[in-house]
Amino acid sequence: MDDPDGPLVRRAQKGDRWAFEQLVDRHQHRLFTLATRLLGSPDEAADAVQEAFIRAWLGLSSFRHGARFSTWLYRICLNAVHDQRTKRPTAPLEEVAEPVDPRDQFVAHELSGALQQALAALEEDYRGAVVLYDVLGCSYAEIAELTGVAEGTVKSRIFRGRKRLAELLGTRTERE
Amino acid sequence: MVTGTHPEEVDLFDYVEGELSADRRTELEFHLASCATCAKQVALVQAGKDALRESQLLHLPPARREAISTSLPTQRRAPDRSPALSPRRLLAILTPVAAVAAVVVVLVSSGVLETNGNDQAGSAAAGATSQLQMEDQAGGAEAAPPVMKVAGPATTVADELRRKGIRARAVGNKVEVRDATQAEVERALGYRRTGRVEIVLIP
Repeated sequence: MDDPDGPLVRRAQKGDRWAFEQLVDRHQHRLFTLATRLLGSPDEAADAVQEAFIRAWLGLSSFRHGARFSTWLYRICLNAVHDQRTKRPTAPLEEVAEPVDPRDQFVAHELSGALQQALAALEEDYRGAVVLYDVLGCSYAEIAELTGVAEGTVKSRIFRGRKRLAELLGTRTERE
Repeated sequence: MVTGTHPEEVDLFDYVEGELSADRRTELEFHLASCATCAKQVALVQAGKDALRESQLLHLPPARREAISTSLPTQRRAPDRSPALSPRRLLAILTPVAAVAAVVVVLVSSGVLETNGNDQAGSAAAGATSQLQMEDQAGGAEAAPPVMKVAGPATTVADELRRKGIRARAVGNKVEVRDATQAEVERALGYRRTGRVEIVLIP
């Protein structure tokens, strides 16, 4: 498989930190988008992304070049998102109470919008599928590999996720 | 392809994505023209797709990007390391150990070094024990005023400090830090927003 990250990954696997930093630069925003859309909180998402890159750096030797590096990284990020979610019961309200940094106003605006609220209302499997496919542009095969289901199931989840999302957005618009 | 009188969900999805053959597409369009249920489903799926594709890529704040760089451990597991030690690696580890042992034996037998090896081993063990006790007792240390208050949760903050080589543990809504200065803590957590997690230095 022709992976555009391949050369950098090979260098990073030999301990080249600069190469890994290039990979971070290349993927940081996509991982942050994924985590933010799934968690709904930019602070929690940033924690998950930071954790994901640390795990990737520490586990780089286990990456095998048959797969795409981005898919491997998304898998680590999804695990970090899951871990972040499990931490919520200990201090869930504090993050919400923090004042919004002006630099993050765009993210805050995006998250306060109808789309994010509709996404948050989706079943988790549907939310993951539509974010990976429609927002990040992953292929059916990648999503199937990431979520451990068949490609037909991936299509079905995207179909149902989009449909439910449109219904939620439509309901909201009608009420307004 | 068709269940009863309606196309299957995956067919409708492939239609929206433009992934059907020309023949199948014509067949499905013919059905959609006379089936309000399927036509509504297709319209909703298309609307959901449009809404999602209009959403923007969200940018990780620069301070967090910086934090990723500073929190990457300098030591990484060696590439392609097998789970078990290879004979070559084992030899590389054991050779200097054997050399030191040989020197100690020679020095002891020649009387240059007193036979206090047990004492040394004992004090090393005692050191390790006291280290462990310090970790265990961290929760019972005297309360000190916080040097910083940052956004939590406390466990995440403690994890981050440990990754950056600072001894820390979460105790309730506090993070107790040992063997580090206020400046080191501020460098490690400076990018975080102010919050309710108190960072306390334990002398």
